[in-house]
Amino acid sequence: MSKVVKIFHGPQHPGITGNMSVELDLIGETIVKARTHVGYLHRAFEKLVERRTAMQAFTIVCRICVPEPDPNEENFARAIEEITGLEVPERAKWIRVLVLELSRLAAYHLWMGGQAGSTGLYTVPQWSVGYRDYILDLFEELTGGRVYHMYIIPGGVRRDLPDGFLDRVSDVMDLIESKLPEFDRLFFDNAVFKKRAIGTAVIDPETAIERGVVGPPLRACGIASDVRRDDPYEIYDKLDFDVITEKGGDVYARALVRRREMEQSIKIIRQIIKYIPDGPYRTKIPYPMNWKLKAGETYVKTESARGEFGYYMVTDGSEYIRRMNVRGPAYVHGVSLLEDMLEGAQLADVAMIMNSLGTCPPEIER
Amino acid sequence: MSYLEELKVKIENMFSPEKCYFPKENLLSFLVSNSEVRGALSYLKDVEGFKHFVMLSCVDWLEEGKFELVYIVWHPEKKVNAMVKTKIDREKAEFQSLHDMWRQICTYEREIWEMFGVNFIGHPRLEPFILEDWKDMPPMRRDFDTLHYVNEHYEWREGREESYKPRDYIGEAFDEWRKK
Repeated sequence: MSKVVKIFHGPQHPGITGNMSVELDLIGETIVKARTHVGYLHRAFEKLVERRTAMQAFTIVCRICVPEPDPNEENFARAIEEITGLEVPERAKWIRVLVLELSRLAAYHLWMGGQAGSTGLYTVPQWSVGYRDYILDLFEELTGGRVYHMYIIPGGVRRDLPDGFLDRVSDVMDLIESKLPEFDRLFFDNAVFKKRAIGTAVIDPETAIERGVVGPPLRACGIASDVRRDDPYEIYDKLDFDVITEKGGDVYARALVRRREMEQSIKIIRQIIKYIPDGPYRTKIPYPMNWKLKAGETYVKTESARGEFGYYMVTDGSEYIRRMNVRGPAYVHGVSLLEDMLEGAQLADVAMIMNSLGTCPPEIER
Repeated sequence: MSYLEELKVKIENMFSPEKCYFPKENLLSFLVSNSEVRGALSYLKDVEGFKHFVMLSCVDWLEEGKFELVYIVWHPEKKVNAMVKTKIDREKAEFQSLHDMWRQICTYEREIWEMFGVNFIGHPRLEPFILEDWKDMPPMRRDFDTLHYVNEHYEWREGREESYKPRDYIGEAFDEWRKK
């Protein structure tokens, strides 16, 4: 009889995407049972929001996801707007999509670093995190914050674009686009990465839909599902972009989906630079500090870099939000699906599979 | 007549929903009795094709003495959402576990058990999820007194006595703003 060894992968581990622990039962190098343990950064945002007004809560929600905070802000703002019937000016919608796509690009660069680092290719993280900083510089100029922006508020955006900002965005896009072929040579066409990733952690299309998989992992199974196309929000119905799909459903297919989506994001940003209209960027909220929200409920969702990011919001007519529940993609990918997928996998692949599914603990314990 | 409007008529004939309405264009929301939840969800999943389970949420209606469980599902082909809601008693909070319909409900039920104290009958794994060694009232209940808990378990940092009541602070700023 083989001996079963129990080890903890995390909460402090260079390969994982945050403070999260996976308890593994191993026979040799093969995992026979996996259990996730979350709660190392329990921050209870949903509880905090219950006792704050909409304008106070708006500064909290962006902290739910560290690599990509803007889908949270957009979801929150749009949920409040849908409940209260607040109109958003056209220009604000275009600026929002610009911010969302920039943050998607930044998140994919960070993912690239994590995915390559977990495979042992240590040059890629240095490069990709470096190029991500050019996008963060843009955010700093636009919003004042590099990581958390607090920019998309109910009723529009906080301030208008600075002079010449779009030219600088255009320059950064040129730079990032010119570097993508180098990332191909270094990472996506790398023999080591291909050997490790092809055929690892395969999800088939039927299970993917049944298990609630969203975003790049779902599109890597060949299903063209994208919230931007299926349930268009803001101005995505006016933009021209492709929904990327790949076949295979393994780690490599998910990597390729993200790689090709970076090109689509650049394409979207170039369209915004070209066609963004003039006009007001914000609707004034009647009483920002004592704003009574109409009673109602709604479910809004955004396509984040990891998939469908949804907010279920209930209000009861007071200035507080009754209940705000966040549906992060990692809540499904990182707990039940990850536990099942790790069974039978190799110990060395754990960090790679977690990165490829986009596990992000702050979303699980929001 | 759009697909969702037809679905609304079907739901109204088949079940006895209390409040069946559209919070927004592509979202149907209806409230059913406890015994009809499984039937409504399996009808939506197996007959209509709402294959993708989005989320399970719980809302605490303290004044009514009820918890509201909200199941949200998505139709991948028709591109619409549906929301099945049910109210359970707050005092003796229990409900049947639906983890056999979608595997990921397991995680949601486990969190609601921990955060609201709703007992899900038949759940395979009701064990602590996010909290550790928690012996108090389930913290997401609205009658959980956060200030009392903080005073009991933590110390206030010195020099922050003046500003620890954000409501008072905002009230004054608001009055000043109104005067302008």
